Amino acid sequence: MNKFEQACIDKGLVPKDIKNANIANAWALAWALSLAGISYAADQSWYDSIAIILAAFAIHLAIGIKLIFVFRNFIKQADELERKIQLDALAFSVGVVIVSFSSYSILEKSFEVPELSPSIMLVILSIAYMVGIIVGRRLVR
Amino acid sequence: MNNKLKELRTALKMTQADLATTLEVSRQTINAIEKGKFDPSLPLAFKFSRLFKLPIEEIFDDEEN
Repeated sequence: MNKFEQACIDKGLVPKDIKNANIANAWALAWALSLAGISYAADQSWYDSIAIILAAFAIHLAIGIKLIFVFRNFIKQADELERKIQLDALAFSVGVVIVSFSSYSILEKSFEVPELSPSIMLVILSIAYMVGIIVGRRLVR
Repeated sequence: MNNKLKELRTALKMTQADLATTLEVSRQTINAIEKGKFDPSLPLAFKFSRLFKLPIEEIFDDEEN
């Protein structure tokens, strides 16, 4: 297994970090599925009462809040090298999103370009975060 | 930051994995510190100090000094 493959998977992480990362991944998946499901239901006009809309909103919000605390727990308990890699990757991904969106907003004012949706922001954030983790792990191996 | 971790570890006939288990960190953390690619936290530096029975400044060398 080469360094890139080792960096892509969590080879070398301590069992506690793998367990906490799996918990965070499961909640992130639940959050993404709830977002997709609730958005799809809204597009299909399945909500016929304000109570159902509020319930769907509350479920998605609750999963999101739980995800924040689970991820915070993962970072707090992580092995110190892994914590540094994760925090560097987070800083990189936030920076990429801010720079790309601010640059695109200039283009939007000057040219006829499609409007950026929040989902694009999430995709850019996720990709930059993954790239940051892989590069960070490669640099310290 | 330069350090004498590798020579101190080998003097105790410990592998990186042994040291990682003893200090409750990953083997990658020990490897990165030995290679000078990662500076340990102060609590981890104190753990090294207690294990090797040496002051921190004798294990780690700040390149600026």
